[in-house]
Amino acid sequence: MVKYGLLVDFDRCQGCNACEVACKQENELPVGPRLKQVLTLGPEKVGRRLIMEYLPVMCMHCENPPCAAACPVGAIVKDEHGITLVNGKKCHDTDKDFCKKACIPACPYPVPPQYNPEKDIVQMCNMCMQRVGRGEEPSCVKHCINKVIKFGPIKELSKIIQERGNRTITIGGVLPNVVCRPSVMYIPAKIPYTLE
Amino acid sequence: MKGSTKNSEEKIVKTICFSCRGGCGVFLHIKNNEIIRVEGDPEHPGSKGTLCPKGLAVKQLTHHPDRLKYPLRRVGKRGEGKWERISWDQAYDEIATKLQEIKEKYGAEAIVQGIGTGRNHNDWSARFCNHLGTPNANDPMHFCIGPRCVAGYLTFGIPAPLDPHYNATNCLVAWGRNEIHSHPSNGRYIFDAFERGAKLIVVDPRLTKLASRADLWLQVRPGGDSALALAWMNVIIGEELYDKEFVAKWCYGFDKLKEHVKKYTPEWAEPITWIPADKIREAARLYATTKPACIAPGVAVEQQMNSWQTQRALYMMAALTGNIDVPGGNILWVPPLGGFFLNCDNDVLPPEQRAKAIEGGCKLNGGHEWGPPNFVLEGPPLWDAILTGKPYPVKAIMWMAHNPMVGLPNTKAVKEALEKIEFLVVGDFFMTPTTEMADIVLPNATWPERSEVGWFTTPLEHPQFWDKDEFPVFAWVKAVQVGEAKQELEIYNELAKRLKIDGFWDTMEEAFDFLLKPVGVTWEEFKKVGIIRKPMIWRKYEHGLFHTPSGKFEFYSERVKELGYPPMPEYVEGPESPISASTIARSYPLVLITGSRIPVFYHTDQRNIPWLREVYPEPLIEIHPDTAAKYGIKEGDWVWIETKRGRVKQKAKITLSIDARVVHAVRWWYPEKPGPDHGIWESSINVVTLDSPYDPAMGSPTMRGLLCKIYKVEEEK
Repeated sequence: MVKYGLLVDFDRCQGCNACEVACKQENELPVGPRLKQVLTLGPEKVGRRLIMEYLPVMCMHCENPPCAAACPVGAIVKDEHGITLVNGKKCHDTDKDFCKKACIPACPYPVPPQYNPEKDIVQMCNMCMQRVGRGEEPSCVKHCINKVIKFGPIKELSKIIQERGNRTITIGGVLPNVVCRPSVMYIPAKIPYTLE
Repeated sequence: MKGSTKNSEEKIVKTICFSCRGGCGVFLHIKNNEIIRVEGDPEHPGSKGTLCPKGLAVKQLTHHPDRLKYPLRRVGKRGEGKWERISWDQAYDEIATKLQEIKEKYGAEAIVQGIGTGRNHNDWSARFCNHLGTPNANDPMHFCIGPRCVAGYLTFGIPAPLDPHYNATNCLVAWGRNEIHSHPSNGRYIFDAFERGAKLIVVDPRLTKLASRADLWLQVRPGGDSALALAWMNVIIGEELYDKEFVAKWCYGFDKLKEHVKKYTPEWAEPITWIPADKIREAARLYATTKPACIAPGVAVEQQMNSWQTQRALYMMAALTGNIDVPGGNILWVPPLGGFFLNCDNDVLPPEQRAKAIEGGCKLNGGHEWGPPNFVLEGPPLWDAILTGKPYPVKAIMWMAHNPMVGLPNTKAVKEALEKIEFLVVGDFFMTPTTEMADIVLPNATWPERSEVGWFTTPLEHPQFWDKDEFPVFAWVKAVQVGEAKQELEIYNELAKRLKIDGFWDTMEEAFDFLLKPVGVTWEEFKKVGIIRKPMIWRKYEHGLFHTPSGKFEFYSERVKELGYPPMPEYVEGPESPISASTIARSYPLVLITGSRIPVFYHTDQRNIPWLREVYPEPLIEIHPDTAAKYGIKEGDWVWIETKRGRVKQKAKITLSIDARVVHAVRWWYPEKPGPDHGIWESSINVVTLDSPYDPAMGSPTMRGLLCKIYKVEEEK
């Protein structure tokens, strides 16, 4: 089965939050759970420059997701495309006092599973599989003005990574990529900063 | 047939998003008169299937539980918040009767009628004023885009901005314009330009993402823009970096300009702009020697003293470097139909009525000079007329899509005047601090509820349309109806009938046919096609573009001189800056800027849209770490921002993005509470901004570069 991933060319991100609201609409989310978020990094001083970046973040779709390991009822699973999915019924039927939403603190990345109080479940990015099944792109990918986020088979995304010098950037800074092996990858800027 | 029942209930309407003025293409998915979802239209030549957050959240705007659904009549005291529902016929009859009464008793000039943001109704509003006979149309162009239009008219003879053409540029100067947040849909063209190696120069007191990425970031002192522009010209001319051929052939007054800018050296500008002289030189050289180059002039310089002259100086730089109306330079919008003020019927207003306009001495804020209708100066001159009856009484105001209690400077002065107005009609989507002051409130239609010939859906906001060398006009198609909300054109049509004035139509479709006549299609036909295109003509000056007295691009304007203003841009310091007001600065030591764009909000709208407010939940004041430490302020503290006009509080965001001598407060913050004030006195920054003195020619107030002090809000016990 083909493994899907997301590639984030975050140097092009303008921090407009279109992806975040596209995700809210697609998943009909109330205020609270934010499956997709745009973080502002900096500004911080690097050499003589002040640098500020926007970073779209979501579920990283780890190959070995710590959230799944932490869930006492096995409500978080990996599907055949490598996508991390929440079994909504199982999650809903589980007493949250029992599970203590253990998946949330288990996540080492900036956007852990998001609790939706209206449905009493945790939710996370599912790469909009309902759209992909209809032949459409994930909503954040489609609506992103600057084409920051790319969706596709990891094999194809790897070609873009190679073009950028075969480097990806680890975000989160907690666990190295090798442990979680995320399917969401961040690539460095096409034109590097000049840090004179 | 089984299974298709569900689908037949859901329909998809192709239309145009107008959550800002961008005009991106959308498909609205509709079920039972309700928007289920919105998707970008991949065939739209500008947005290409993408959308920004404001458009993506539209169902929460259109179907918001607080939407105004019916006309309301005030039953309590003014501003008390007591209302009764009336029918549209009652509303039209009452408004028409009252306006007619006032017109007969005081003259038509006692009626002010106008708009805030343009929801495609700018021309209809002015047209209504002209046919009614009042010279007092209002349109807050004096601090938004008007200075660019005036500068255009008096410098090259067209009352329109010279817009940046990102698609082919090799050097972009973003001057007081954070394009990626003010027009997010243009972002990709800037990033594409950057990735193909275009140079980027940013003039901004705040570090934005573009500033962070720029080859040169000039962190200008708020209010120092005119000095900086003059210093750039000093370098470009002094070092002979200008386009000699273009200047000799197409420009007028170069020798005078050359002489004029000699004294404005980078060394002279350094203490005024807070930018080292060498950096000013470097930036001017980079701009002048990279071809083609474009300047993106922003609203930041228009909300200051000297607004239009500074915009003029920016256009002059484009002319000096030969970057006028060439691919990748600064180009001129020529739409297939419509355009600014072409359908206002200005000629029907008799000259003696025109002469009565309350313009506060500002000869360039609309009217006789550059083509639009007369604009009343919506600030102290108008408030004075209401309060004192001088130069004559203003008794009635009708506003469509306008919220001056939040959008205009010095809220207290606005409120005092509105308390005294005899008759106020306001149309909007929601109850706002302004509708709360009205006698009659009208529910306006959001964009999914309206059909329009989108001539105001502008390439002005969307220079990227021009990458196909064409100018489109789009059809908006009505998809839903909420309550009895109506669009402004229909309201003007109905009022015109009752007032027995000309210039309007029985139906909106007739108005659309009128607009479409020059291109020879009907509304019925246009609606199906959805788009009209017209090819771009480059270098229009070769075909007589410069409609100035000299027929050239004018560095020196005899006309401006005749009007009593400096014929060439000069350095003017704002009314309340550390340089001009050192006494005030002793008590109010920090420079205050307001009004930067937040990409999830448009003007005073949308802070009540749950998905958007969640992204930017609190009003933030940006403070440098050193300044915060000095005043004992920590991240997240509520901070009072006090000027000579009063104080409001916002939450501290401590950041290196701002100079230690400057703070940046977010603009236009409401609703925080239920009516009638909706909490504007708490955090809306215009409570403390300055309405007077204003720019003497244009009337622009100062909302950027004021003096303030900040201190922590102490917890009340």
